[in-house]
Amino acid sequence: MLWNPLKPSVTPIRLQSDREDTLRKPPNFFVLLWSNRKARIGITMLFFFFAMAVFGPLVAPYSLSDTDFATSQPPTLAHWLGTTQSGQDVLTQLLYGARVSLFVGFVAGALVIVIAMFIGFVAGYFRGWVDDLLSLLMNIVLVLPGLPLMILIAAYIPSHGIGEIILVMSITGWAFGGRTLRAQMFTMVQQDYVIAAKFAGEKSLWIIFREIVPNMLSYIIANFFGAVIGAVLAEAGLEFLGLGNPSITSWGTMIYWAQSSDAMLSGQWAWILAPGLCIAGLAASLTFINFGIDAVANPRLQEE
Amino acid sequence: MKLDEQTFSSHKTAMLTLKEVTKVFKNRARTTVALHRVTFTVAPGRIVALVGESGSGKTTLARIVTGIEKPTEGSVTLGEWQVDRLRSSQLRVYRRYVQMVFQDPFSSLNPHNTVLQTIVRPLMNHLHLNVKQARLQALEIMNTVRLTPTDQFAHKKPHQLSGGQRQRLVIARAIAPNPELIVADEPVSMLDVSIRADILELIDQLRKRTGMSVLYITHDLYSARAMADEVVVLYKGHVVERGNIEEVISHAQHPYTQLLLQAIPNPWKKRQPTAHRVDGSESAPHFAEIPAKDEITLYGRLHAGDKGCPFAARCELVSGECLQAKPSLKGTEVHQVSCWNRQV
Ligand SMILES: Nc1ncnc2c1ncn2[C@@H]1O[C@H](COP(=O)(O)OP(=O)(O)OP(=O)(O)O)[C@@H](O)[C@H]1O
Ligand SMILES: [Mg+2]
Repeated sequence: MLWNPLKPSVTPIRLQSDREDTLRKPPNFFVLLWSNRKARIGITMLFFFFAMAVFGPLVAPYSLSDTDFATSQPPTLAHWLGTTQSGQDVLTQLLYGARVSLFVGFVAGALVIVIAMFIGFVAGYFRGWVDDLLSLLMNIVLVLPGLPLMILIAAYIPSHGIGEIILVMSITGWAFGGRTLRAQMFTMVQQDYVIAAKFAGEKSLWIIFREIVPNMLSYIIANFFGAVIGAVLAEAGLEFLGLGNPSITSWGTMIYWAQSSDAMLSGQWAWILAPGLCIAGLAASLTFINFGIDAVANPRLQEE
Repeated sequence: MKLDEQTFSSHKTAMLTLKEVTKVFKNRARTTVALHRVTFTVAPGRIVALVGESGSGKTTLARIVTGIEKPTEGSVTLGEWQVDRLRSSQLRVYRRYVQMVFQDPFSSLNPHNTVLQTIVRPLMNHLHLNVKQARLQALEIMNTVRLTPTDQFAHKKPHQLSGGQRQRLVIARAIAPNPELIVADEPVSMLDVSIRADILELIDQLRKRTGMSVLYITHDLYSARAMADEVVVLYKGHVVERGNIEEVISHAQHPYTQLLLQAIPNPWKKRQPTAHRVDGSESAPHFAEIPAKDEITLYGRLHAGDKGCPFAARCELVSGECLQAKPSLKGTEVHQVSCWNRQV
């Protein structure tokens, strides 16, 4: 380019940065998240489990109703993870079970977090007698021992379908998250920017959901993932105790059957290890994503 | 006519009046009297400085004037508004008329909201503009507070602004609904020294242009002199002296005001050997420099607070009656002082 004395050479450079500044859209949250290494690992793992839930039944080597294999086999070429005491293929069960476990985990987790958010936020934001009342409720649900309560409810409801299991876990599981979200809201409300929002004439619901929630998004997602992990484990626990529905195939029922037929003693480590690892892997993937969100959700930590 | 002039009408008539405002905080451990029978007014279009050291009750007063907190006793009015009786639904409307500039420009801005969003919201809520009108108006206001070029700043978030720019944004948001009164609680104490004057000047210009009144809270009498028309000196929740700023500064009567004046660094003046320095802490009265008086014990001085003069423990002039009863404000509208041993 020729140097033109009438146009100072800095001008085009400044114009360019001006345009960049005004035209650039804020980067997409998921693009940002993907750029975080831990989140990337977590998302990949989670994607793998989702793929398992969606396509598992298609790639499963056998049908779930095939029960005429040799019983209690250790891993072989025909049955990579062995067979059960009633002659089913463990790998097939694992692939089918992903669907139920993930469904129960995410749906119950979502229900739990919605109840926890609503009650926790209302208590923490409005304080006073509203808070006293809701805190009492949370403390009552919290001190009621969760598993026995689930057992009690599970024992009284007529049918033990997936829906009922989810319902039982949601009713018993929200109080812990509700209390931590309340505490978080309690401190948030005192911050200057919330007072400033009141000066700007915002209404309570706007302040809670548009001003405060974005600032605790990572916290809420952490709680949601915690609830999902809790639900997957609780489902496994219910099934393990035989209070679920043993005719459903989930990772929980697999562990239940493996335990009740002494899989460990007969050397069928794969039968009990595989669903256990899947549950642990799911928990790990959510935790990794959580780390990533923590780093990304805070705009002060975002790079220019 | 420019949009700007339409909304920034300078016909403001609301007078802020505090009558005998008392605020008591009761904890399990102890009760704190943060404000004790505070009475003064802020006339329309005036800047009144509220000066006092840390813990003197300045922020508490700001919170009461803006309706964040209710006084234990006394009344606060702004124009027609009986502030101490407002319910929360009324408070939202009241805040069109009173706005606040916070001490910490970082924590008072939502990190997720852009400059434009921050200014647009009060315009929509308080003035009921639609988004398009509000955007235009917000750009206008950005020009007014010199957040320019506006197209460059409009979509920035707080962490992309400097401290001074952030405080300009906080001021922009505060003037957006065209309030009658702005309460600025130490608006520059967290800023770099080099930009403090700019921000104070901006507030002063806006006051002249919009006719709003300003309650300027500071611990530094020097900046009060640069800004204010009147001054109210607060000590442990008590108004000890008030009046026209020039008058109070040139004829300070209360020993505490004199202390504050001596704390202003003046390179041309020699330090007087007896000068007491206000270091902001409550704990260090200079007993050694106070002439001993037989009838007044150390204990008596330190515990005069409840029934006697709040300043007795640090005062050079302390006499018997200072421990017995609280003095009250006496003098003219131009200059009042609350001291048993000094008059105007
Ligand atoms: N919510 C509260 N509960 C109990 N005591 C309080 C509360 N708010 C303020 N106080 C007390 O009231 C007194 C005045 O506090 P305030 O914050 O108004 O002082 P200040 O003049 O603004 O000080 P600073 O210059 O440090 O900001 C202090 O002794 C403080 O401890
Ligand atoms: Mg303060």
